[in-house]
Amino acid sequence: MTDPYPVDASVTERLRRQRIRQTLTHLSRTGELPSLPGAANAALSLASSPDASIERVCELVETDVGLAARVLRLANSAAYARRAPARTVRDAVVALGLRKTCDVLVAACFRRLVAIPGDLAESLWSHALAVAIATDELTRVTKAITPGSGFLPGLFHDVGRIAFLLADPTSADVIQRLVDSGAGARADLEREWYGFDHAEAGAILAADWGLDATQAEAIRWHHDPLNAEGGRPLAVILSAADSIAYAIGYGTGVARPTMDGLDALGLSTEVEADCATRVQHAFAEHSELFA
Amino acid sequence: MRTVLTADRSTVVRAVVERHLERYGCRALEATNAEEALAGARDHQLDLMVVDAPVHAAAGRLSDPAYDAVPVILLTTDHPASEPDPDDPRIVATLRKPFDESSFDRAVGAILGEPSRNPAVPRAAQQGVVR
Repeated sequence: MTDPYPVDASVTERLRRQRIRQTLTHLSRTGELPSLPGAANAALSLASSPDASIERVCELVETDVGLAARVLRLANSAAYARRAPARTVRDAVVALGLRKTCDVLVAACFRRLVAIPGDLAESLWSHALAVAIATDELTRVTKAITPGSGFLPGLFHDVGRIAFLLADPTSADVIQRLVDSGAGARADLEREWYGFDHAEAGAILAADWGLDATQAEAIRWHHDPLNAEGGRPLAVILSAADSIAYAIGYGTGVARPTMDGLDALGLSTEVEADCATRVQHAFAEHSELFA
Repeated sequence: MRTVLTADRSTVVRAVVERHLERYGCRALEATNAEEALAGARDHQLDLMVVDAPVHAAAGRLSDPAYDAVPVILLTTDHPASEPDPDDPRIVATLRKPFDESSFDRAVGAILGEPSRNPAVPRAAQQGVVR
């Protein structure tokens, strides 16, 4: 039988997004949703722009002495160093490539956003960085999506949790303790309190910050990747990267995520172990860079 | 020591309320339904109850003098059924879930006074469960 009063799904979705935004702004002391510093927005738009040039990226890097130092340090690290060391920002950008340079710029800005007191903020940052590196690594291993395009969605995959922590630190800590004590699944507890979970909130923020619709969709489904539609390949990789981050010691508590993503990728035990080892090495290098 | 009962079906709501109550240095009890809330009101000298709207409505139907004597902060949602009855004399304030710390302090502080940043009694000694 046909529903005589069909509800337009896009209207329902729009209202739901509006409710999520209203809840987060209502809880926030500033009355605003979290936002990235200006340099990160510029780097995000350059990362997705076909017109990005070395000159434009160099200009952006040079707006911040700290960012320039980080880019030079990474370009001269074991992973990227060439025979002749990078001495200028331009040398460093050429060595790293435009996409990687933009990734570093965004990560440095994101680090500042998460630089708030407390163990939970620190573990969320380490987890975000580990998942970013693991996602990028898995794009290269699987080639399911463009190799090297996974760092930013990985970095932002749990931005909903960071928004909860920034807006409502008491409840974020209470939920973390309940999850660790086995009182319930994180998403269920978040929905009990907020009416939505961190993956839903994160997808909205990631889209606001400039990730494309497929990436935002993948973030929405990173704990339930087989339910994703357009963003399924990336959602599967994010889920697998989440598991790898926990396996190498950069989770955010004792409750582990599902293995849906790793199972769906079907990597051999050897490939998975090699991947985890490379992520661990890259994490050590990157975490020092953003310390 | 003042005693506050939190009555809500949700584990996380009870835990968040109790975490905020730690700053007030009071004894926190919890209930998950109307029957447990009524038992808490009968068995303890309560200074305040923080009660989910449907639990409060169910407790009200059971009409118990011990429950009726305690001031209530009503926890509501955006669901129309959770709207408070304006003629209910027990309700001293409402808090819409999820609430922020300053809204909690405005509602609770009116009954319990200013929160203490350093509660004198360790958390484990303050809490109890009615059920």
